Amino acid sequence: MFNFDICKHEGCKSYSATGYDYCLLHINESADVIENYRKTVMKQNLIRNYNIEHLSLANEDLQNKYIIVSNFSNSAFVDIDFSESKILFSLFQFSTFKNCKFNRTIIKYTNFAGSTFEGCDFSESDIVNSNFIGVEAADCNFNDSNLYYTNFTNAALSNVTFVDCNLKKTDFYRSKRDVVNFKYSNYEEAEFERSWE
Amino acid sequence: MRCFYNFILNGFSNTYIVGPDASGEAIIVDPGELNIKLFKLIEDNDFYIKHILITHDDSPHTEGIRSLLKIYDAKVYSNSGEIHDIKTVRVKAGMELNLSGFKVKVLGVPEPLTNSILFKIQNILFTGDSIGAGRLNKKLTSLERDKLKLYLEKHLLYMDNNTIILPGHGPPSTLKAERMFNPDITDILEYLPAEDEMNRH
Repeated sequence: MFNFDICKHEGCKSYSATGYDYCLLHINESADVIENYRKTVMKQNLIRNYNIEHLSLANEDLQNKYIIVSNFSNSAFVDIDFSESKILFSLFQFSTFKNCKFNRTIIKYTNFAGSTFEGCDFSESDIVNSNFIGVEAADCNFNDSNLYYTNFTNAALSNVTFVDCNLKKTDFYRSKRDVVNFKYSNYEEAEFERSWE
Repeated sequence: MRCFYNFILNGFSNTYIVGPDASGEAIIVDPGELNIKLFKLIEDNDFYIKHILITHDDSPHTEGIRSLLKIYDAKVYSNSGEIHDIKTVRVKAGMELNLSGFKVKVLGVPEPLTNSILFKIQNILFTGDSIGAGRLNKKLTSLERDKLKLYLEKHLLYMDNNTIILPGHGPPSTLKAERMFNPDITDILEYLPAEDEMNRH
């Protein structure tokens, strides 16, 4: 699993980047370190046990990657193509995703809590038992996806489409939904209220 | 310290291994079964399972104990005293264990809420079936809510925001995300102390 050592910079509570004593915010010459990470991520198909908080990536092709048990929280991803990747038991909390593609991905046991999604495409994906609590998503598309037991509690969804999705046990409790389309989906089996309330 | 995760088909549960940076004695948390993948994880890292921590006595978290004990000379720690006719070291909330060099804090969740106890090793909180990512695993009555509130105020509110939550089922999380967005938790908190205040403790 990713390392659990705290960044050695005084007062910093982030986890240190894999292979370093400091997080990316406090490593000297972090641009070089990010470039090394970028090369590693591009070269390897299996990205396992990485802890790279505060990463910033743009215009990269990360298709067909297998990202497992890794932590990319507090990061920024712009124009990244994650299509046909498998993402398992990982953390992407409080991150920003802009114009990213997640087509035909398999996302299981992964936590995106508090993240922001803008113009992202998750169509034809298996997104099972994953966590989108407190996310802000605008102009996003989850069409033709399986969202079984995935949690959108407290999410703010604006112009988001869930057309022809499996929404069994998908949790939208206390979500704010502005122009959200559930056409052809089994939204009756999703949860919008707590049953005991 | 290294920590490994293994998915168990039995109850779709999570099993974790905590071991030293090099080879040596290790801890396993909630072994729902001993499958080949888990066994390889232990052996490939040159770990010897010396301690088995059980958050609660439930099949998806305990079925692997028998097999593990046939291979490793380990002690089982639980709050029930006996699991599958195997005597365990009974642990209670507030205890602090020193297991092969790892300091393990035992935390307790009020009984009506769940039968889980929690284990904290460094900044990792193994929550069993008590707190999952984004939800609690049980419907609460008003009495249970009050008890949970007392528990949270006493034990969880003052932990670091970056505490990693590794639950018995489902994805990992952090205490920060649960405090901010888990409605079962935010609802029962009368106040949220400032981050500075939380991190001082």
